[in-house]
Amino acid sequence: MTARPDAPSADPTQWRFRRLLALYPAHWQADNGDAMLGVMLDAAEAEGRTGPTVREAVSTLGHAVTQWRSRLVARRQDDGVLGSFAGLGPAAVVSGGVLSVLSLWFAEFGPALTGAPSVSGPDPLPGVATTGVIVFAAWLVALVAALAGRPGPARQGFAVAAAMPAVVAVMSAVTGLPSPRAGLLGALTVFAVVGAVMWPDASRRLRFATGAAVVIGSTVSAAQVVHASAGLPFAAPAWRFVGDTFYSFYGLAQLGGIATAGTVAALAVGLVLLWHRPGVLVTAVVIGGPWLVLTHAGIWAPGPGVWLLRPSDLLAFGALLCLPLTLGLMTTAARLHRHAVRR
Amino acid sequence: MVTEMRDPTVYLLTALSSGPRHGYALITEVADLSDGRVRLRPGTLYGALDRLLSDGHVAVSREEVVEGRLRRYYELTPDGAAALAEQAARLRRLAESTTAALRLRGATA
Repeated sequence: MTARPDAPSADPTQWRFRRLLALYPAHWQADNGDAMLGVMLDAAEAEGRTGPTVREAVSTLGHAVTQWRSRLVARRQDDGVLGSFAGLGPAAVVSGGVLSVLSLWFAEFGPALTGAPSVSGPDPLPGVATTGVIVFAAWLVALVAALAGRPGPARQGFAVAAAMPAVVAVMSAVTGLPSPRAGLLGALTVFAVVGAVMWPDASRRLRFATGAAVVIGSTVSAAQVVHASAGLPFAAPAWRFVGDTFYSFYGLAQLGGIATAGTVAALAVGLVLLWHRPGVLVTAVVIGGPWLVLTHAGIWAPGPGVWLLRPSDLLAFGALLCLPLTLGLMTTAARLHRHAVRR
Repeated sequence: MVTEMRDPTVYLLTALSSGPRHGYALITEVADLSDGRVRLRPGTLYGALDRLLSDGHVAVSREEVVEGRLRRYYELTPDGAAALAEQAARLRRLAESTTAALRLRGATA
């Protein structure tokens, strides 16, 4: 096993060559790194060098690139379906995480912090605007478990987060407490279902990348919201984010819609590759197709908020049921396929 | 139809034909065999060895640690020896036809 290129305290010469080995994929380093290091050190010693030459570095870089390329090609040849699904879990977790962080901060705590109530009706809890806080909190708990490297609790957390939007919708309908819009709840349901099924037993690097993407996405979107709010005449005071207004006027409706469409599209591409399971494909298209068309056809509509289905629309509640069912079928097919491939 | 091998690959197989060699020994021997024309860098060496290993022309024979450095020895397989023989025959035919063409040219000049 090749050691990592740590600080050059012990042997500076060896450290200089080990840095070159860091160009290679981890498995190649583990298999061949020490042997190649020995060759480089022998050559350097014979020529009286204490570091790699430029030609040596270029030659090593070229070989490392071929190793990365052959690794990717081998993966694609192993199983195209798995490749198409590999990034789906992290993508859904990042999308849902960003939406939850922003919603929690701007739509739930923002109005209370600024003393500008945004939604008519009683506060479900002191200091928050809607019952959506339950969904967002469930999402953040699942996100923390995922980033902490606990795949089991993370999947359970995403399963809970997937169920919460329906619970919140029913709770608000029964009690009259304000709730987030159905479109947002639907998007978070999608992401949570995909996260529950597709979040992998992620490496530290993948978890770091996922966490960084959530932080960067949240920061950029928050900056966009604050910047946009300063230039809008109806947003006085600047942090007065009414539930609909927040999501409709600041671009987050579009963000959520595009992310939802992107996630579902990626899932659909993976599903199409399951050509040998036509029953699953047809069922998913029949159930999910009309819903996707209805909820996303208006994404390019000129008016803000036009494309979102109203909570009063019964179709939205039907959609909340149909979408997880569709995704469940799709992802179950993917997992069955993966199991078959591994076996 | 004999697949044409590149010069460094032929030299590598030739170096291994006299017995197992480790990586750096291969670099020096290839330089000697080619009168210094072919100077393999570690990346080029391992690229060629990767191909030869996957084609079954060479195999890892053993490993040892010398002065804290891992040395991995490679050896020519029977397939590799056959491939080298094919290359030698190809190069011989090439040399003979070239020589014959030059003789013909000298005769007609």
